[in-house]
Amino acid sequence: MKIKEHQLGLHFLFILTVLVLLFPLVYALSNSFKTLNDAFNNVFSLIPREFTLQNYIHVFTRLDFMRIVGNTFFISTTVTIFKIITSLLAAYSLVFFNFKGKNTLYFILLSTMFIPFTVTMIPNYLTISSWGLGDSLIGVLIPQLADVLGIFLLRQSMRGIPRSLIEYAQLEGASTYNIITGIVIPLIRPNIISTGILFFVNSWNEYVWPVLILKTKSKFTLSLALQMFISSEGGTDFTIAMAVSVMTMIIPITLYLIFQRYILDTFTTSGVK
Amino acid sequence: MQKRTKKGKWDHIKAFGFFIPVLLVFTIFVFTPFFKTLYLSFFEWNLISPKKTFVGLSNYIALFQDPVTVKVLSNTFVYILIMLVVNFIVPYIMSYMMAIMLKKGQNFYKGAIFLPYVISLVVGSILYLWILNPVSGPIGLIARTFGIRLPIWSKTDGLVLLILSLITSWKLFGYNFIVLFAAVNNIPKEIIEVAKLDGISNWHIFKDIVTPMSSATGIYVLIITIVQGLQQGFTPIKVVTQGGPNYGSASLTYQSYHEAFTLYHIGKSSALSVLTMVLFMVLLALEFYFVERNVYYEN
Amino acid sequence: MKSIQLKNIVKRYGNNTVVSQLNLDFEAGKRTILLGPSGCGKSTILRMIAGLEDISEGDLLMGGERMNDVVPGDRDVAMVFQNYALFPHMTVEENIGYALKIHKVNEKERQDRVSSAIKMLELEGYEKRTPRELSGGQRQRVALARAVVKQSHYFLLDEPLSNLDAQLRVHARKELLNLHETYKQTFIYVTHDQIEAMTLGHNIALLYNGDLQMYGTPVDFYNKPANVFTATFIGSPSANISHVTFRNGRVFIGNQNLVLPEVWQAHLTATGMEEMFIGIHPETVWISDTPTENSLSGLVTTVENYGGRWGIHIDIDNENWIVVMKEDVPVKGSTVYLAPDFKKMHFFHPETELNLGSPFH
Repeated sequence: MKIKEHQLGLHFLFILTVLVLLFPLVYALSNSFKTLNDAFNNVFSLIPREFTLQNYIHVFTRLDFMRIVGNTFFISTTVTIFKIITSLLAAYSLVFFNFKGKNTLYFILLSTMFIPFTVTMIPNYLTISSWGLGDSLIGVLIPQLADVLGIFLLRQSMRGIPRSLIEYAQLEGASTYNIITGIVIPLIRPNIISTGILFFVNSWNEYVWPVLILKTKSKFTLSLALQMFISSEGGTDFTIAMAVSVMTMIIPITLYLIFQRYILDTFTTSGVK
Repeated sequence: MQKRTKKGKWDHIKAFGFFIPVLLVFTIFVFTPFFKTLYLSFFEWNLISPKKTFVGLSNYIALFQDPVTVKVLSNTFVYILIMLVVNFIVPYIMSYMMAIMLKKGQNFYKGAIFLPYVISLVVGSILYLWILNPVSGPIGLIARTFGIRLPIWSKTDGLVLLILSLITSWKLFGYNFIVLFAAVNNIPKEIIEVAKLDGISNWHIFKDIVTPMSSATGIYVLIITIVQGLQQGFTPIKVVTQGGPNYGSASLTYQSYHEAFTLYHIGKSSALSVLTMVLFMVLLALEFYFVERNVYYEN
Repeated sequence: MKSIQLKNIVKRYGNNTVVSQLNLDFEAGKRTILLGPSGCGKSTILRMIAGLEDISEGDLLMGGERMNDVVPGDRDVAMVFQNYALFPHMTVEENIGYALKIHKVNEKERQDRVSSAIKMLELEGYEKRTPRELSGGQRQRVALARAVVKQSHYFLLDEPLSNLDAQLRVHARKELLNLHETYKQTFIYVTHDQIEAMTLGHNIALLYNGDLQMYGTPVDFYNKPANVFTATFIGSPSANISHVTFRNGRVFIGNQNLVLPEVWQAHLTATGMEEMFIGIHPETVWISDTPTENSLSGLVTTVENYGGRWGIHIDIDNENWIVVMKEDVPVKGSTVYLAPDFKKMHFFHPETELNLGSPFH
């Protein structure tokens, strides 16, 4: 049975890929429940010899951890809401209105995807400072608002709405507001959700801006808190860093697992132009 | 009842009005900074001093005379090269295997492979830092049982580039994979069945049918691999090595950051950013020049 | 009910003129069909009336009022789209009631009107379903219900039956007629299907390349086609058109000729022309396998079975004609003799291709 072996080999390859990609997550989870001793002497066992919550307790006592989560949550939520609304409006305009220079405008916006962040980094840093927003959460979030990805994804999904649906609504006297809230949003809801999750997750994981802007510990985000426990030799904070890692990952992973189908659908169409 | 009349202008205003928020943030945070950086690259400045000194092209000249720049450029090319293999060629072939050859389990693999894309690269960097720790990490310990002593990769030229690219690839692999998979999966199955009936090998089907028929997406992923690789690749460098050993892992993006916010050479950093931009443009243009001619658009 | 008038309507996209100088009256309460091949501008005209396309030039009068610049929502038209344009995220009931909701009709009246439309179109029991859960025929009826519920003066339909299979289409046609008999709106129906046009229309406007080819009743379209295009578009198979020469009371086709009756001779002599086109419907020719007086001979090249009728392809000195008959079908390769019905033939101008008129009508 040549065919069977064939399939077996393929599965082996894919399972290996999944293991390589997901092992770090399991590793982090397992070590976050180990004692430091256990972690160093019992490297290969994924099940802790003595199960402990000490690492998590440490995180909350050594840091104002709830505050850090709160900061991260505040930034991510604000960025997500703002970007969803503005991307939705811009995409609607691109798909359902006709105006001169529409395609040029879209092309210019799209090409900003290919601008390295270092090109805008210094002037934006200066802008934030001159507005007195250095070392503030607002200062971290506003440079993140300029993002064309949402326009791209939502435009793509709006183009899938048959034009006749919108025309019918216009014929019945529906206003633009009616059309957006009553027709467009319900029809592309899965795409809005997955775009929103992507925004949230990207902002949650954002590293460059918090590093540049934030100085005070009470204003730190999760990415910065993590950095406090790093040392390449492992060190005494190893298991605590694992606990922080787990808590940093937990929200993005949960969101992903819940909305996995929407997210994968939205992305599979994003490359097909 | 009074009937409302169409006002052609009003529609235009509305259409444009919907763009105002986006244009506003882009003007402030993308367009203006773009030119500001270009402007700053002709000055010498330390970020704090009120005085900026116009120095013409000397930042650029200094860059080209600096051996560090050569190192950073060659690092960058190595990063790109590794990521093109790991994050473009490998997922392309695997997406073919999954779409055409694999019979079961597609949804599970797709879901699992994409998962790291939603995880922070700071987390990823830290985890791999320990997993790959040559002394106390699991890989190091396994090697030791075979009597091999692993080099300290974060301090070893060359190896450090490989490991850091793999960390970045870990996050980006899944996205590239599912986008490529969608493109390959979109190819009408009949075409491939006919080829199989004609006894054409899988390799030839991939090379002669699948790649040309999914090339529009292929190019998109190719570009994304380079651009995202350099953008995202910043994080592991910053977290793990800070560009070390002795600029051995600094990429263009990292070096720009380093010049600006560690050394306060704003002019030089800006010049380097402009250089990065130019490099991106050249790569884009090259790809379009060489590949676009034979692109097959799925739709 | 109110009429719709198009006065010198022009539609351009950039430099491309899709509709040129069109004048057309849609009579109040009557069914008018916009007929033509795809790309003839018929849907564009419908969309201009609905306000979905801007009018480049000319006046659109609805109920005597100029409506060029009125927003679609205030034109009081109900429209059925080719793909039905049902909202996939709404139930049948919500779809039907959408217009009323937008117009803030009160809850009670809305329910009454929706449920009577549902009853009218036999959609009872499907109120809570979404379009996805309906068959093609049911979706089409929801689209009709949605248009009916509005009780508007104008009823626009853009190829509403083209997505149905042949059997459903016959039923749906009858339903459309019933609907119109009940509400008597000014009814404009776009189609490329001549059968729909002939069966549904009080009047038909035939378009080609943005120009009106003929406006008239279905009977006129068959009996008095205005030009060659009309004669070839109407009838299945379409009319045989051949170039002929009229001389000495005879028409010459290839090397053969027919003697025309005296009324035709007088009529054609009066036009002063020799070269012209002849148009003969396939059903108006008698075929015999023995030579008859005043007939054309031809070779049978193909015989097609239409089910109960036969289409005989005949080569008459390199002119290919089709004749339709019910019995005594000749075999392929045989020679037959054709005698056309002189009362039902047409002659057309060689350049303008306009009908030269007939002494029999």
